[in-house]
Amino acid sequence: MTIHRPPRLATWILRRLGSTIIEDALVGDLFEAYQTRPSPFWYWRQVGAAIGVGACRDVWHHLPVALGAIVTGLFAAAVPVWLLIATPADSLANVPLPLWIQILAAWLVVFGSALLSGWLVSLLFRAHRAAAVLSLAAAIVVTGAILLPSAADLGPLALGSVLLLDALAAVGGGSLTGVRERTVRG
Amino acid sequence: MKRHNGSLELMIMLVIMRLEDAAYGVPISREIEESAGRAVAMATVYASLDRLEARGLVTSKLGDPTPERGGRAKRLFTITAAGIREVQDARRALTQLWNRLPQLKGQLS
Repeated sequence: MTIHRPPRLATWILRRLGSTIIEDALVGDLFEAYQTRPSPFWYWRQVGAAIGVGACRDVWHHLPVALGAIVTGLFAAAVPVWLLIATPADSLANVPLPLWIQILAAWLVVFGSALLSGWLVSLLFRAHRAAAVLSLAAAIVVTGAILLPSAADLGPLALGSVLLLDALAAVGGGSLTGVRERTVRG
Repeated sequence: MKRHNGSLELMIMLVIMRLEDAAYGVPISREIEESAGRAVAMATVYASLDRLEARGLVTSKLGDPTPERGGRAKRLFTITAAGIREVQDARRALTQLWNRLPQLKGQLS
């Protein structure tokens, strides 16, 4: 019998961002169903639904966790960005580096801080990782959409791209911590 | 106050009763897909099963890991006595409501 291997990245993300309802049994069910329906699109959709359903349930049942993650994560993400914005432009002008490297460094600070905040939140709220990290990602998008237009001269497309990449960086950071032990009844 | 089941939860309990010892995620979602004619995400089934288990209407235990599942165990579900009562209550209530619709009388099989 040929074993169809589902997309590894999807399973990796599911295991890292899965909530309390995502356990080995569900991963096994998806693997088994994939044998009769070997469609990567179907598998990715199931993984997306699993992360979304799990995170919504976790947020609903552990609202303080989500709020704590948002406050902690936004603070961790905002401090480096605030330091960058607060640095006087003329002091940067004296830095003996080409302009494109300075711009790249600025973007690294922005996305790096989002990645770091996702990682930190995932570490601090490990028991409800999906709820914590996805709440933070949503908060980054909302806060950025409110604050960024006044802080930087960005068009709607650029703003959307920056916010999407920032949210993805936070989710990526949240996926970096190790897989927790899943408790299963029975 | 008694909490009412959604239609998906009711369908899941009926499917578990029908499948008996073979009730786990894959056949449960397949049966619902075939009966209701709509696709349902595995995670949605698990979320409902989690709610039903928390209310004591179903119980679960882990089966043995198998290679066709990537070495992962099945989580097998069984309906409890309270779950069976819940299904019967739902059927009674639905039948009563159905019978009060004169235009649908005689269509209940």
